[in-house]
Parts: sequence; structure tokens; C-alpha cells
Amino acid sequence: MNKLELETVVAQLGSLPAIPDVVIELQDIFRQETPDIEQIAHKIGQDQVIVAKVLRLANSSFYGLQCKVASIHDAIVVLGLRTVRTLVTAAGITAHLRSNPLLDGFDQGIFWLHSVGAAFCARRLSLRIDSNLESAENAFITGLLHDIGRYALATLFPAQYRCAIAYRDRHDCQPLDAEHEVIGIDHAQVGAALAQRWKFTPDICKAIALHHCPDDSQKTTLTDVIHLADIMAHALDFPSSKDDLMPLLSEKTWRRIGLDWQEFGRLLAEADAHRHEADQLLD
Amino acid sequence: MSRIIQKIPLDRATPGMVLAEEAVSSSGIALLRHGTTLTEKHLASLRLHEVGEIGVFAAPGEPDASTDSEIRASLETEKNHVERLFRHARINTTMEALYRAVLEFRLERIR
Repeated sequence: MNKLELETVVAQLGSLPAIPDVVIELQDIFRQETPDIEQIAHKIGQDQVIVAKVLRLANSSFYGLQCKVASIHDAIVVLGLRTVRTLVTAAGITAHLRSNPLLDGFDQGIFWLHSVGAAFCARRLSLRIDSNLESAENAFITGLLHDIGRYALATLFPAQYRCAIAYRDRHDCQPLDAEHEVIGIDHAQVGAALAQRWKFTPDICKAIALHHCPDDSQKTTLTDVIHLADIMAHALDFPSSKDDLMPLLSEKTWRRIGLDWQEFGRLLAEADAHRHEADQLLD
Repeated sequence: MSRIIQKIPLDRATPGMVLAEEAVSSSGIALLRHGTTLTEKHLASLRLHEVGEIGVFAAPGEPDASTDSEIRASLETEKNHVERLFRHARINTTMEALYRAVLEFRLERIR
């Protein structure tokens, strides 16, 4: 089978199922200096699937609110625009892309559970590194999207992707190596291109591109967070599969993040305590 | 009072045990409420509804030998599971340390 060029794949990205406009528009609105809360709440309110999911998550124990929020407007006031943007993005992506029927040999249940698990791990880890809420929200979104290139490849090039899965099963190797061997490009490259198309910020796209091989840097980056969050999700059995393989932890990332192994164990336990929120997002 | 909850197959249930959660039939119908002290009549009814497993409170001060061996078996299974997850991964000191940290966390979660 012929290998694919990245340009060929990128040219096809437009034929993937659309993510809701509100998700893409929110990335733009958020860059405005004085976002208009009424306008944002109104826009989100037009997608009732998203509204229901966002409110359920906002009221889950993950955010530990004292009282329930009943509307998107309230959620923005109580949780802040950043957190609501994260929830809308997560709800929009999981609800709309998951409705894509398909895909022989590509288990969407496992895929989304791993993605959402990594998202929750990334948020925890980010807050552990510094208490910056914006970084934590970015980490959540990036965790959710880090493997989205797999979904794109499996949807757009099912025959090639099936061969890569078969190769992986035969050699019991890392999926990334199977993709290089069979398809010629990998899900990290494709995912970054897709995130760019969806107008996510450059640091998010870069972290998706490099989540299997973090680059050199003086300080801890979003790429490091996603690299380790991916490993945490595997450690927590997101997904549970007998073929699952632990990815290799970059020593550079581990040094930069600067945790010790006991702290890492505690972090796993914290993330594990929120397993049911992952299920809620995928309900 | 915090008490240990055990899942046991119905044929190991005896009168006097206290339900730690509702007993549910094979078709999902709730039959007996949490907190019920089981009688012979209850047990007969649960058998009739083909209940597989029930959750009961462990009797205080009476460590159950079979439960200990059940826990040991779960720990062993979990260890095999983690070893399988790391089957090609323990290639340097960092990965070996990661393996140990994950194993410790996973075993602790069962204990």
C-alpha cells in the first residue's frame, strides 16, 4: 500500500464531520479584549446538546461548586468564561464527532475514553505545576485533542489505518511506530494540522504535534504536560484494553516537571477520583 | 461506624447478614433495601429471582479467610495487568521507576 503525504491528508481534513460553529467561534471571541458574556451565553444556548452537557459537568464534583448553576450565563459568572469555554469545547467535540458512525477496526469508545481521561489528567497535572487557571483549561482541551489525528486518519483513510492497526497487532509495537511504518505519517502530525484548522492556539497545536517526543526547552511547557498526562491516562487504564502499551516517558519532560514518584502516585489517585466525570462527558 | 462491604455470591449468603446495598434481580429490579437483615425467607426470594451476587457488610471482628485470599488473588491479577501494560517499556531507569510507581498506586487502590 502506498504511503501517504502529510499534504494529502491535510487537503482532506475539510471533509471530516464538522465541529459545532460555536466551538470555533468561541476560540475567536475569547481573544477579544472585552468578551460580551450575554452574546456568548446566547450563542452557546443555541446548541441544546452542548448546554445540557456543560451544565451537568459544571455541577459535577470536579468543580466543587457550593450550589447548582442552572444556565450558561450563571455558569460563566460562577466558573468564569475560561472554564465554560473549556466545557463547551469538550461537550461540542465529544457530542458531535462521536456521532460519526464508521469505522471498522477503530474503537471509538476506547478512543474517546482515553482522550477524556487524558484531558482530566492534564488539568490536574497543570494545576499541580502552577496554579494558573488558564493553563489548566488549555491543558484540558489539549488533552482531549491530543490523539485527534487518529480519529482523522481512521475516518479519512480507513484502509490505510486498518493496515496500521493490523501491523501493530502483529508486531505488538507502539501505534506511533505502526503508523510510521505503514502510513508514513503519524497521528500527532495530523492532529496538529486539524487543531490548526479548527483555530486552536499555536501552543495547543505544538503540544499535539510533539506529545510523543517533547522538544528541548528551558521551562515546563504544555507539551510536557500532555506527554505526561497521556502516560497518566494509560496508568489509570483509560482505556482498559489488554493490548494497551505504556508509552515511553521522556526523561527531559520528567526532569522539567520536577515531580517525585510519590507525588506522581498521589496525582494519579487525585485524577482517579474523578473517573465518573469522564463518563459524564461521554454520556 | 465504618464497615467493610463484601460482594458475595448468593449461595454464600446466610440469614443474619446485613445488605450493604440493594439486592437487584438479574433483570435489574430492586428486591430488598440496603440495610435489610437477611432471613431464610429473603434468601428464598432472592434465589427465585436469580440474583447472582449481593453486597453485605462483613461481620466485625471476624476476618474472612476466603476474602483475604480473594484480595490476594486480585492483587496478583492487578500486578499481571500492570506488567502487561509495561511489557516493552521497562527499558531504562526512568521507565522502571514509572513502572514501580504505577504498580504501587494500582495495588494500593485495591487494598
